[in-house]
Amino acid sequence: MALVECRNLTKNYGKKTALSDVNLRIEGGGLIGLLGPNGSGKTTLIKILTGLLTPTGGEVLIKGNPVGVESKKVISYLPDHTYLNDWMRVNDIIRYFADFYADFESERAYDMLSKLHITPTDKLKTMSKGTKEKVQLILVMSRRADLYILDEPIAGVDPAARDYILETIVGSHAEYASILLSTHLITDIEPILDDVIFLKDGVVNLAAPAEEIRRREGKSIDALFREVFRC
Amino acid sequence: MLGKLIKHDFKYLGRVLLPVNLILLGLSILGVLFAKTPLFHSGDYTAIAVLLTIGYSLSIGAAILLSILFPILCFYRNLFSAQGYLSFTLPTTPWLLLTSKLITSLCFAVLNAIVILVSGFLFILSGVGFSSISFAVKEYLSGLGVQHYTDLNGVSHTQTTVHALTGYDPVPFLFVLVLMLLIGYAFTMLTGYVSIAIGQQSNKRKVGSSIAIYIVLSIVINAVSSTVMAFTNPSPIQDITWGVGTHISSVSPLFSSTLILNLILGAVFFVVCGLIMNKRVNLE
Repeated sequence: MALVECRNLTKNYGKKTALSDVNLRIEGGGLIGLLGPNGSGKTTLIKILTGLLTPTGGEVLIKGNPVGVESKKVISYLPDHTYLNDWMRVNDIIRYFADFYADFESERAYDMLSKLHITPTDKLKTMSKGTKEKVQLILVMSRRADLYILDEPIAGVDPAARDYILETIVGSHAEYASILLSTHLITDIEPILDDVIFLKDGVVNLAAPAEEIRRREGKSIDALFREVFRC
Repeated sequence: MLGKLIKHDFKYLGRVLLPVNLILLGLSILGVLFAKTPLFHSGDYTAIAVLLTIGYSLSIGAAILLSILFPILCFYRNLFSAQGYLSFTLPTTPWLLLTSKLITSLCFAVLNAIVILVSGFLFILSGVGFSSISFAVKEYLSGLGVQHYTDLNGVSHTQTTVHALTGYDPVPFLFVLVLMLLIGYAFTMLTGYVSIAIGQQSNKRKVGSSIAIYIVLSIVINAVSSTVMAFTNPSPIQDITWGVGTHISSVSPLFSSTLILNLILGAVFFVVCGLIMNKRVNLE
């Protein structure tokens, strides 16, 4: 049974087609780069997988189940913006996550916070944008989920923080878990990618292991991306 | 899962609504204590007494308004702003998210009502309140206010004043009143919720659309209520005559029709809101 299976997935917004007949299969254990230019349908696909959008056609199965309560238990999602209550303290948010997610590990969260010198009693509204994003990433990666979906986790942060985030992503998940990572910063993540999905105009343009693509095309994923999505 | 959602919604609403109610209670106690002092009856402190009274009245109004507006605002923020990315990805259904918000806001409405009642009684029992209100409450509580009247067939009847006014005896009337207030409040919340949910379907100016929908819904609901009431209680309400007097009509059909209408429309709004949250959410 695949971790994620999309069958003839389509999403229309009125007359605009965001996703068209997408067929995908993601197995457990690996880091998958979901790559594509702006407007290619990456966020739409992510929102459908996480239950934030309902598809117009086709179906999505997460570990054999349709998107719903059971799938949300095994997916840990990081959106591309801050989604936490500003007035809450980090402690409160950790308790919130621990309450709702059975696989959340509070000790791991506190450990990662202390390494980043983030005080658990601080309120989110006193933190910079970058620090808030790190807190969100820590919360998401502190779950023992089967699938981590990270939407632009390294955009808008400095290079040093980017390295830390990538290290955390690679080092924090279980071997059986998969990470679906959507980003434009391909050069930063290419060294850690196992599989690649290219999305263009709502259609899957390419889906293959990263190493196979490099061998077949004779170039890096970044170079191939620039070629495929040339303006 | 519903329990956890309610717990966190309580924290979310409580950080504003609890202090508001505490302030109201505090002002009441302060006012009663001040009224017990000879200073209250001294001409030199009339201004303070007036300010306290105004402050108390304003705080009641603010508490009632906040108990309606703040939960609706929190509903929007928690579900249809950036926080919705967290709420809708929790391992729970949108129906439970909606139910939790409704139950929590109802609880705070009840708390608000109790605080207002307690503060009112504090004033009355301290002898500060209006003597007529005090008298009326005592009459009600002691079961007095019995009235005699003769019907159109010349038969004599005896009923309490409450029954004459409402068609209900004192205790059932209290029950109906509380039920009406609770259902009425829930209906107000659901009108706000469904307006927000429908407003989110527009591509632009989602907040503006929600407000416009709320206004339209309110107008339609008022029109429907007036029509229903006109059909359920065609007889005009007559004045009460003490002692042996003429026949008196009651307002119980009004209460019943309002209750039923709010229940039906509230249920419809709940279902519509839940369906939108289940199938048509698209957070920006």
